[in-house]
Amino acid sequence: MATTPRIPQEMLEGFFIQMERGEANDNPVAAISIPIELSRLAAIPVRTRKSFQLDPVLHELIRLYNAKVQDCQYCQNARQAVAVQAGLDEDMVSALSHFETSSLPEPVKAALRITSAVSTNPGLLSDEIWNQAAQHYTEDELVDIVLLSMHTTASKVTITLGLDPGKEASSRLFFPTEDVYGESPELAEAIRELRSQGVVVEGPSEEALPVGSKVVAAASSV
Amino acid sequence: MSRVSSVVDGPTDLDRVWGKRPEYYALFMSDYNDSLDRADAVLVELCRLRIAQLVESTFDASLRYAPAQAAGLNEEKLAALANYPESELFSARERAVLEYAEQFAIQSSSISDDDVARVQAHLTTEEFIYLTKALGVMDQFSRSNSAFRIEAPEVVPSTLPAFVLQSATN
Repeated sequence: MATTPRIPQEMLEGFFIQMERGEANDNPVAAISIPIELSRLAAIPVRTRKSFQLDPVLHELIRLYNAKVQDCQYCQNARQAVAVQAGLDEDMVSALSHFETSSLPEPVKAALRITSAVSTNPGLLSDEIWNQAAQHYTEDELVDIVLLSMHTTASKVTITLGLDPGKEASSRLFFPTEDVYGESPELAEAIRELRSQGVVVEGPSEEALPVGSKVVAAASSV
Repeated sequence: MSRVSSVVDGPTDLDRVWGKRPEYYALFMSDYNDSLDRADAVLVELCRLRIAQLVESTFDASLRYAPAQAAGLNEEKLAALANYPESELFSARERAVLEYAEQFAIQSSSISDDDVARVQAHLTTEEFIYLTKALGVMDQFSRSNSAFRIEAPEVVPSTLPAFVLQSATN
């Protein structure tokens, strides 16, 4: 585990500016950060016309499973507000470390078997595991499960360079309207749709909410 | 044939499977190609093929990175890749980088400060940063190709413009 930088301090700032605001600069660490467009398509459990199309709770469980496997402190302590409102709770998150013997629903277990194989040894992704999952998911969803399981191993670079900001930096709910995801017509359309369904899509931006916070719909959204 | 049956049209398994999410495919491949281009071509190719061996990606193992070939990397050396710790074909720098790549692929969170210092002794700061990013995308790409059981292509996908078929190098 590395939460101390393994690169010069002066290069760190560029990374976080790029991460949070999508600003270009000539810092080599900024150059290697994940393109904001990729994050928009894959890192938030919001189904746009171009993104993965997974259930938000499953999406967040796959992300959090890999956060644990890769030992990303920052990733483990963030929660996507959309997933929380769709039913993600802390008992489910706690069960990830022993998902096979947990009370998580069988479809979730079937998906996590794929995630586990992809992130550890994809040669172990047997026909049995694939076919079990196919009983619960369409083939399009299986493709998304593999791609998301792969996508969420991107933290390996951050951790290896010692760029994990640590758990305190992310002990809060993230909303799909945050600047970190940039802007796109598809995302704006999906956010409008969520809002019309009563889902809270923006939260207090200045003060962090503790993980596990109940999301209360704003009066205008009810 | 990959293990995915309901695919989109495309010239290779890679296009047919990843093409089911065309925007993600295009963006990921763009980041992949850019990331490889920033790092030393020979080191990239050695690490890419070693990771393909570790995660059992037939697809990735079947391609060759043309910039590395242009820099002198040949099939005789690649045939010895799995035996790099003992083979005299590999320099101390290449061995250190391959060891780092293996650790990265198998369990990156176990890479210690001492491990990093060993590889950094052979690289500038920028080389270390760019190599690590290249390892990241190569590891991701090989893992998903292995999971999908994407086979060796008959033509090079247009999303991998810097590559040639391994069969064309014999």
